[in-house]
Amino acid sequence: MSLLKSNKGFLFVFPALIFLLLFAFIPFVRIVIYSFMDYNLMNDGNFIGLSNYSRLFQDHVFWMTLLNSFLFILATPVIIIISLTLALFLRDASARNSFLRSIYFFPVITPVVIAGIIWRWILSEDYGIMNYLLSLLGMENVQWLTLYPVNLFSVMLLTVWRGFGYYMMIFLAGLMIIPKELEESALLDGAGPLRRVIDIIIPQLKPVIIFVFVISSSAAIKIFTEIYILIPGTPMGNKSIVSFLFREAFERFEFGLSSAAGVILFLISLGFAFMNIRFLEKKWDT
Amino acid sequence: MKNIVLILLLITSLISFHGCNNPNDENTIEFWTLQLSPVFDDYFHSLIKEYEAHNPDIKIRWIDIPYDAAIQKLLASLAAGNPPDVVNLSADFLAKFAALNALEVLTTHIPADSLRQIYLSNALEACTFRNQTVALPWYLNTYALIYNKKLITQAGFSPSDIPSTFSELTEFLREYKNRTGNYALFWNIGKDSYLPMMLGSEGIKMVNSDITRALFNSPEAVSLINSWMDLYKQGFLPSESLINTGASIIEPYQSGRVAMVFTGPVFLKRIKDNAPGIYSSTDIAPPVVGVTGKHELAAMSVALTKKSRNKKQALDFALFVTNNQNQLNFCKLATIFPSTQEAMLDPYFTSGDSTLETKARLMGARLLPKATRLRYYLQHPKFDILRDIFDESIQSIGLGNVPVKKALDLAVREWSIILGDQ
Repeated sequence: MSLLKSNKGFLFVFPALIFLLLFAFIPFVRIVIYSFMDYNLMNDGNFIGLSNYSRLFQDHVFWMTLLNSFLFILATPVIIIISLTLALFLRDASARNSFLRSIYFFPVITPVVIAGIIWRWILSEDYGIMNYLLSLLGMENVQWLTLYPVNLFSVMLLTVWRGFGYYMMIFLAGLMIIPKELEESALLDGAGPLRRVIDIIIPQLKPVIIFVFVISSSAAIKIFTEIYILIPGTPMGNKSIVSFLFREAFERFEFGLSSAAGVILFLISLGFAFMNIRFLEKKWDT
Repeated sequence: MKNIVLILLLITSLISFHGCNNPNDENTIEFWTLQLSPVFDDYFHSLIKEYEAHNPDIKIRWIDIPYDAAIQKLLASLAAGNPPDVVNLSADFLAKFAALNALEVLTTHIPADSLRQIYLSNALEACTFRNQTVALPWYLNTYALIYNKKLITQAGFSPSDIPSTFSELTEFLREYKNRTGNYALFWNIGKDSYLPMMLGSEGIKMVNSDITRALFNSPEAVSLINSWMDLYKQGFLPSESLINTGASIIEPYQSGRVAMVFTGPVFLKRIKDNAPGIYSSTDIAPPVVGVTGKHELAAMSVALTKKSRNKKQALDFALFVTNNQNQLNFCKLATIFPSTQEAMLDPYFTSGDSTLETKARLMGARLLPKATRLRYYLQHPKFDILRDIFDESIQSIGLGNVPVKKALDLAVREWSIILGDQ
């Protein structure tokens, strides 16, 4: 009550809190409970202790999907390098740069289903343009979609293509708050463009880089849609933990097992959240 | 105090929103169909209008849902205690919901003999789970070999060379590729594999009669699967035959990249709409079969959910939807077949003009009695898990270079655990 009296702003966040409660907190608690139950939506669920976790840990497909989810984090440095490089090239305001920024942002606003279909065409093993270009170079066809882990690489390609424009915009915003004086004085001291990037821009941009790293790696570990669209028919062992979770819940109705996988995914994501807080706090302390 | 009043108002409004939605009114029958809107909107609006005219106290609420989301949506509605009264389901999905005790056993309302007199026996069999009829058969389909006459002729073949058996098909695939450098057809052997259908048609059992034991590591099954994996590995099937889903087989044909497609004649209309150039040189042949001569029956059904508040009326509506006249009317809108004996006797299925659709219709109607459920394991509630295990074992042969026998032994062991668990 004292909170209500002292802070009327609480009322304004109340609707959002209700939605968070209904669609985040309560489901989360229930998922934790279901992870200890044999639940299929149609039964009340029996308490089975740690059986779901035990089943998961004995399932090599689960471990494969977990490993794959971690492998997707490899796309994170690539996406950061591409988006940061582009942001550096396009930081100055000009008509040309504005046009290019729009072009590079285009994949972000392309619906993922459309993007997936386009890339399926590009990477089609018998008829795709990628293998056609390789054949012009005298190279053999690559099994972009069927062969593991090449198909993971293909999904990463799609993820990077869809994401770099978004992170480029974040880097552009970050670049705008770097004082011009720092770069100008370095210029007077004879520092070249690369030296200015390494010694001035990157250190100044560190919080933004860390932020982008954390959110992109969190997104990478939870990857699902791109896999669902690009390589839907590959074995589950070629996919991610969210694909595994989706199959168990919505195709096999194993909500208990799926919830246990969800709890593990949550703990991993929590690890990233902690990493985020620690890195950022460290930065603010220095 | 004002704040508390505001909070209470918010909560009350949320609760009242919830209370507004009460679709299970006893005089309202909720009817779900699978991906039939908007193409057949006129048909359903007219059907519903006619039913409501004869039953003025009853209101039909028609909801069309995407095919791919059918299982999830129905399950979610069942869990929420708010399922439709009448639901259109592929017969392939029935075992899953019947095992959850979600579907009404219809023989408790209608004598089994009456159903046998109305519906085709193979269609009724597809709607049976553990010897109980859990749905009414609706529209049916068979398979056909749709082919591009122009590409076939260019490759030096004549219509008489079109394969009619699986062994002829394997030879044709090799010969076509050798002559043209192109693939003859897109044939799913991994994901949504055709192999179970082929095994069934060749008379090779995948499971025993009471579905308690897997049998597909027998020498005959290993030999058949081996021959198809050889075709794949030797490059006579497209690389993505192992991973593409069933829905993707039509596209290579429409784009003119392959000369044939093995699917339902219902897809002729899609080819006509999407690729009129290809359609103009398209012809159709009977489905490729094994030594038994049997081919797969694709059956749609109409089921009643156990939680329906008005089962009597829901059943009445389901019988109305699947009656002779309404099925016949529906079949005139697409190349599909009715599941009632009387409707199948209609001249519409025995004579007509010389169009490709008519040819497909007459051929399908002639072959329909031979269509049956070749994938017997679909009667198991965990058919989807069994299917995934089989498909992935085939993928492991094609991609992981696992020997055929070893991969099948492993899959049989996994199946046996599930089948023994029934």
